Amino acid sequence: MADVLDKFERSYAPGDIIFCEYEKGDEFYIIKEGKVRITKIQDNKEKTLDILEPPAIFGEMAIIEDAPRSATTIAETNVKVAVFKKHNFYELLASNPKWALSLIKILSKRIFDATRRLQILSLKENEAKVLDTILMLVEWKGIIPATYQDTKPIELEDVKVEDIAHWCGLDLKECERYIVRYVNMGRLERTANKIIVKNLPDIYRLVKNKRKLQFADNEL
Amino acid sequence: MPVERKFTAGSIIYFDHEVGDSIYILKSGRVDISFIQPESGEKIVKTLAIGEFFGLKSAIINHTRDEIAEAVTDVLTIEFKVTEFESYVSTNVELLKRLLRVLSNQLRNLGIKVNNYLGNNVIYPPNIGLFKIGEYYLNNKQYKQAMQVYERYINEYPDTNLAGEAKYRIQIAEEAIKTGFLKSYKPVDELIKSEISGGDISINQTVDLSTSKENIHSPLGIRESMDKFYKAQGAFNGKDYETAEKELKSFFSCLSNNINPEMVDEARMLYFQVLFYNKKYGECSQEITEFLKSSNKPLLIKKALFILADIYKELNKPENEKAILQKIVMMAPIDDLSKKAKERLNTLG
Repeated sequence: MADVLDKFERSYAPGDIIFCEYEKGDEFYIIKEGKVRITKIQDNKEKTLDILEPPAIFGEMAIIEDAPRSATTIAETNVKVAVFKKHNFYELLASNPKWALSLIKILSKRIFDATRRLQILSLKENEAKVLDTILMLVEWKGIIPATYQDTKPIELEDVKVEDIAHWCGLDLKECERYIVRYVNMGRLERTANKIIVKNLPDIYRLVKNKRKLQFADNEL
Repeated sequence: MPVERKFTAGSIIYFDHEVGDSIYILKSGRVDISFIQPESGEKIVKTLAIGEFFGLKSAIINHTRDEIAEAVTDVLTIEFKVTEFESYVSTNVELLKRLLRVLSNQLRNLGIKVNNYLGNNVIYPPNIGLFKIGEYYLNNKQYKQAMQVYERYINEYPDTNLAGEAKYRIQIAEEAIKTGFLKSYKPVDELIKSEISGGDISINQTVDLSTSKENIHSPLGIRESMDKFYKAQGAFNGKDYETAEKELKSFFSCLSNNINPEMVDEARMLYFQVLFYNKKYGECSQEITEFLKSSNKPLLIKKALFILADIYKELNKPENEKAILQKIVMMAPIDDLSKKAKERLNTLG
């Protein structure tokens, strides 16, 4: 079949680097077959940020920013990608506004998430960081803790303590300790893959007060 | 259809925590956006430029607003509903480009702050960064990846002095795949150090490490600038004002339009403080005076004036100090800084 994309197609074997963090980026890709792993080396460990499958687009960030690659992509399986040059990017945007909008949405969401994460990380006490991360997970369910008056428990599904620890920059053991403490106090409940917030207004107040106290200290 | 919408002076266009599906462009008048800076808890007020979008991010992903938009004067806006906005931008590639740039720039700056908190704040010039990734794979016996990275390195930086080292590393990785034995190599950090202390190597040969623009700068110099800024901030927080001054001077010496203006503002405020702590009062007040001529951001102006007041205090000129504080008190909008200035005035009698 004569596919226009074939002309720009490239194949990679498992383990091949498609592009490397810090490299100049003037191409972007659409996955046609296989899986692509996105990684970044932090603290001398290679961490997987995501695994992409067809028809995902990747490599577009360096083009938007006109900056070096901010992560490494590696073929996880045999991979076929369609390769586009930088100047095709805005043509593609123009002919495909839905996609352009989805990029704007993705960036907007990431900005909100990063801002929220900064709020969490800037808390001085690690215990408060853990609680605030739990509040954030509640927010992701569309619940606004500030206005939630109910004492009905809220279930956070598929939440692992590792995820919480990672998000607020703590090591797993320490994070685990705080969660256990709050479970023992009856403010949280835990099952195999769930964390249940027993009384949201309660946790919200705790975090809010911590933040207030801390910023009062910061004043001159 | 997008509509023109008027707001009278003093009215709130939207509050934080509220959900809204409107996106606005400022056509005339003055709109102030205020929000709490996440890392400091400080209230920041930003005056929009004519033609600027606001309410975009929250509306487009149906998130609650995280800022307050206030009409300071009578204001004329164009209001889009999300779907209208979508069809409007889809016919305007230049606008899309601009929006994507603005958003990605914001995101990158946030990312750096986040990484600062997480302790991942080391940012290398791209060539050293690339070289180090190869080294990571080599250290972890992932020879194929190491070779691929070093091939890219040679491709991208053929004239740097680390290119030879990259070739050597490809060779030993190739051998290691066959023999299982990896010959020794010096970590790049040591290579860099020995070259700096070597002394007799000309700058041309050490493009990897020093001042040559060609090889150490990212296309826009954004990374380098941000690196300097955060180094300065780190030094400042550690009360190492000399280093902070040095980094900031270097930050301002290669300023380009691509750097987030908010970061430039922040750097400027930091610079004033650093000069003050280094007791360079003359230079500091000169810089502040220059800044006051060009800035139209009340919050920043007030902050700069405070530093000026501090200088007069140090120089024991209470009359000048009072005059400056008076100026802060008189300046709109009335905020915490106005209050602080007033309190300080009262103590001066």
